[in-house]
Amino acid sequence: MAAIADPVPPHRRDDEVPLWRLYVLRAMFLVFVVGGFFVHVPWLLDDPDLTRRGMLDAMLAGLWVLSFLGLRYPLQMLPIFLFEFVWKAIWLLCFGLPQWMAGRVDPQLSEDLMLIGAGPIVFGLIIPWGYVWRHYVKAPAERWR
Amino acid sequence: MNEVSPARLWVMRIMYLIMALGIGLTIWPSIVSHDPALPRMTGVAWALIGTIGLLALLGLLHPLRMLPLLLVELVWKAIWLAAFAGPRWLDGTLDEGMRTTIFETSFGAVLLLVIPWRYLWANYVTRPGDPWALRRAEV
Repeated sequence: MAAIADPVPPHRRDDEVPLWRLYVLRAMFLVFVVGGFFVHVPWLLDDPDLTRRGMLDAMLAGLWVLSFLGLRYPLQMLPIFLFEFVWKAIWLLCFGLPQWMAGRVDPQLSEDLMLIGAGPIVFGLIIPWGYVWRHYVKAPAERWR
Repeated sequence: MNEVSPARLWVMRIMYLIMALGIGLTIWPSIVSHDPALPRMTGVAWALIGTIGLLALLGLLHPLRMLPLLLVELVWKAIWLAAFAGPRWLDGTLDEGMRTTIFETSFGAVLLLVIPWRYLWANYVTRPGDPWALRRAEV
């Protein structure tokens, strides 16, 4: 059985993204790691809150755990930031904005619009889109046979 | 040691396909059209799960490069089972909905067979990290 490696050898990947951009990505991963510590660790250690089913918290905690790897391999862990960008954009377009435009006034909604709604803008600026386009979309698919 | 067989890539692609189709058929219709008075947490949960389905499409093309997505799946399910379902099971406070979710979440264990662990180890643990400083000119 033929064996193959990732078609883009790791040592080639880092040359196309400037060093300052790697630092921006790492800084964001660091914000995740440190911020998540205060959000997720108390929840993980606490007795479970019986009024919640916990899946949402577990998903966000899963993203937090993987963001540790982003400090070392910011480019390889870009799917985590794509995840953040996409889920917040989906929420904004399909849930937040329609409710806001329907005239709903609710402090919780305003807070969510600020916190979640800022996500697509922040991650939109941080993600190196040229790199994402070349490696995750346009690159020849990994082998099929 | 970072080599992955074509058969493994196929197994990974099938996994991504199941994720994309499953979420595409069950969650996306609700995202596209739903009751405006939906509880807040439900909207957030659907956006998160919907994202997994969307990014799984990229995994069909690039199964290895989207490996972090499979890791997210594995890790969140493990966290949920260990930190949330486990204590309730020990307490004997599981309800019917929780039992169903435990059953469904346990399918995440398939990922243990799908993920190419040697590749993961070689590329996400032992490989030198991305650069921290400008390299010296090649000599």
